[in-house]
Amino acid sequence: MFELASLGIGYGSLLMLAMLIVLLLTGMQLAFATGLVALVFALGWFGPDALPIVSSRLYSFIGNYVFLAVPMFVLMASLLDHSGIARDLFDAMARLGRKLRGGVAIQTLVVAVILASMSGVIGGETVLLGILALPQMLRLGYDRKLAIGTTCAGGALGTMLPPSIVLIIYGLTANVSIGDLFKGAFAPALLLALLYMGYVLIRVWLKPEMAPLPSDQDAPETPAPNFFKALLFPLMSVVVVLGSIYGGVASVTEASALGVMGIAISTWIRGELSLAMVSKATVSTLRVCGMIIWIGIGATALVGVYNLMGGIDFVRDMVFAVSGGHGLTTILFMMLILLILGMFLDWVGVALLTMPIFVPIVTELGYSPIWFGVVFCMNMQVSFLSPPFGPAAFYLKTVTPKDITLGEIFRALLPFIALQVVALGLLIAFPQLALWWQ
Amino acid sequence: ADFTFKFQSSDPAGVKNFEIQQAWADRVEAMTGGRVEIDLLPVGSIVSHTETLGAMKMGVLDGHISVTGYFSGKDPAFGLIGNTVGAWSSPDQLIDYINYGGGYELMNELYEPYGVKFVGGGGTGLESFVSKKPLDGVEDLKGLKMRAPEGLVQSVFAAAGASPVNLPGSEVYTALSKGVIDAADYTVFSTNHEAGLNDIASHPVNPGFHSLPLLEIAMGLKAWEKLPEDIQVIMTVSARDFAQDISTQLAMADREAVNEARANPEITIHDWSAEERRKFRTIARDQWKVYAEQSPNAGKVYQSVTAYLESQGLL
Amino acid sequence: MSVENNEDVGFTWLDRAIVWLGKKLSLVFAVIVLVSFYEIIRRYAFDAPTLWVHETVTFAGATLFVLGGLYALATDRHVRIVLVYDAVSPSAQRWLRVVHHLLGLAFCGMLLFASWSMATEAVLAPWGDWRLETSGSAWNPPFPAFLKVIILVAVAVMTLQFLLHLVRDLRGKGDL
Ligand code: NA
Ligand code: NA
Repeated sequence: MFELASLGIGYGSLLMLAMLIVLLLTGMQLAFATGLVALVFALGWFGPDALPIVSSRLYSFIGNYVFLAVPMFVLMASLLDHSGIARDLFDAMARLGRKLRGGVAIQTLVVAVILASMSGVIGGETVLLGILALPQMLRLGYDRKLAIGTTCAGGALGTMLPPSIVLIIYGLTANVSIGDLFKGAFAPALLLALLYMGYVLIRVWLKPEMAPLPSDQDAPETPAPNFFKALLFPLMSVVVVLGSIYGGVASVTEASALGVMGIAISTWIRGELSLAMVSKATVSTLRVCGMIIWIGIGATALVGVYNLMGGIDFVRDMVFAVSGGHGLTTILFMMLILLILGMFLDWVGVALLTMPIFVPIVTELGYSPIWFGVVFCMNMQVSFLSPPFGPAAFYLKTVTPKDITLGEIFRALLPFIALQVVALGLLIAFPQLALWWQ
Repeated sequence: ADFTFKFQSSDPAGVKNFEIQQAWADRVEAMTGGRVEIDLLPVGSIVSHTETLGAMKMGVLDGHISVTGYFSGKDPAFGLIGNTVGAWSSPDQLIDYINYGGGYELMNELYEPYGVKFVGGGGTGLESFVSKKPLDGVEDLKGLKMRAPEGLVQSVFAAAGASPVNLPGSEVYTALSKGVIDAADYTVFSTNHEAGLNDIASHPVNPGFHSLPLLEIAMGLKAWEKLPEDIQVIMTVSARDFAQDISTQLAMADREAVNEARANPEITIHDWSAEERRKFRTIARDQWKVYAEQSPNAGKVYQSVTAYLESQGLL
Repeated sequence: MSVENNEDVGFTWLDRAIVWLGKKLSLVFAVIVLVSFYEIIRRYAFDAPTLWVHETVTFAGATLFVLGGLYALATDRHVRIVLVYDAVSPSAQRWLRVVHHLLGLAFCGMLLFASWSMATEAVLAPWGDWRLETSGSAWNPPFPAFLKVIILVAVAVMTLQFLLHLVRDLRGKGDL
């Protein structure tokens, strides 16, 4: 063998990291790059007998019942995307946009929050808002950066406001109640949304030309869609999902299946449900889950091999050495690591790579793992927007006009990232934000 | 150290079980004068709890401290010996069977083809049954919505008329507090009490009438055979002590917790009559026969356990 | 998930077959929804939860997760960082892809070995008899054995996918 073990854990960790970065920079798929590093180290450090760790972890990872909530939430979002619910919702909120300066941006954020409460993933909402809201703001002459940032940051709220697959994956990794995580995330998610709204209102108040009011020809008074027809059933299905999780009527997986039923029935009542539509939604679910789960497989394989190498103790000791065992310093150091990882990795990878190491340290320091889950979720909000790997920006780019470059989207997102960091700081300073209900 | 071993526990770090296991690992190191060092890893660190048997054979793990019943899917024999519901009325009886009644030899016979050495084991303790409803006998189990781990226990509860459902351990508290389930086969009284389960489900049945799972220390056979004889003996004897250690410490913690619970007017501890316990045992024993027919090894377990129980007048 | 209506096609005959199969089998997600719903009804309305739903939907979901990985590879949807890739010339991009395919083959080769040893243990008892590993529950289905064999087959297919992608790019036909 290559006798990688003779490197020792310090240099071994460094080599692992370097290999991963090089592979990722060549543009290799994240899922396969992490998996490959795991296999190379299993082979090189321990020999061929250790390779089955990877297949064993793959098997255990995908066979987790709670994990089934992930495709259910993705399916819920896909059905929502393929229906006209979001459009009706946006039109129903149009009154906000007419009289208030910056109203369309506020309308966009309100719609984003409502969509986020129906969906547990990001992607779909970002794209929908990119189609519905962004062109309208641009047409009215809104400041481009403000319009782009609002759309993209608003769309990313999907995983901050419950339900959220980020919280589900965290709950699985940290072994804490997902229902409790959902309860904990509510107030911080609304706080973040309010910060966005406050920011928009202050910017346009200081500089009114950033958000011209629509003239009468700009936005002719169209009859608002029937609010009840548009919203009643989708919102009822949200109540069913969250209600059955909080009320403990069903497990998270079952509640998510109920949610899919709810949205499906809503689209049926709206006359949109067809086999073709369901098939489109399930195919997107297959594709998205293939991506998410295989990133998870790669990351969980890497963690298993790294654990066997003794890496957990190494990182643990390093964290304590840097922070001196001081609680707040440790948390802040972890936040820094997460922010950096979030620039380059997908959140699934970040969660599965770091949480097995961080959560035991956090609980040992006396912090609530529920609170830390919400903190992690807030941190991953940043990861969706931060370059060079910013999934929300990528999603928005798929539907923006050609003259809006990825660079411009990322620049537009900077103030929103700052707001996310502010929300993160508030959440760390005031843990009650996530724990008041206990 | 001449031998550095990686063992994976079936418990998460930070619970009392894990601490007691860690203390065993430390004692082995002291007793061997530092020649053996055991690095005890929490559940799931390397492979999931159901996959440790294969990992030991492969040499990925050197050993585990785990619950035998998890390997029921590889051979129902493990499901039967791993939690012979209705056989033992105290951990001591199980320990006696393992150490002197043929259990040790049988486990080693069963594990040998898997490339695994059974070093020793015993019961964590007679578990306490968590319930929101007052239960005073088998009749009260009918239609009871409850959580049970997989294996023989589930079949037994199903046969007794209850509706056992699968739930991860981490969801038991929430599920009970919200009424998803009315009862749970969870763990020993002290741990249940500490987790607050008795506060939300205030009718525990203690001592329990149901689970007494076999908790074992095992090693990869190849790693074991490389050990000099003195270390092998140290491991074996310390494993015997570990079995006593964990059941005694948990029993003491249980008694303390029971006293605390008795002083709490909100909690009513139910103690089943000998008659009701016998009824439940009869139902369980019918399920042993069902299991015994599922594989030749399960048949061997059935023979061995029943012969022992008979010889001790426990049947 | 995207609202844009781009149809997935696939690059090679194998990719196209996977896309075809994926489109059919993805409907199982909808079946999972219905079956879970049935279970909830059984539990609440009739106080009679089933023994089979929980394990069946978990198994079906796990199988789709594996298939989803093949599907995403067939349609080039796996997440990557394209910072460097997008900045280089088309011919350099082609060589980067060749490198990815080779590394992908290395990944699959090792995983194939690992999955083989896992799958054989799940279908054969250590003494060589045919015996399917079961879940150990009251219902006790052989899903663990099925899933471990499915993983082996999936990794074999993935190896072939990478091989065909490699051939395609070496021939210069790759225009992803
Ligand atoms: Na959400
Ligand atoms: Na990012």
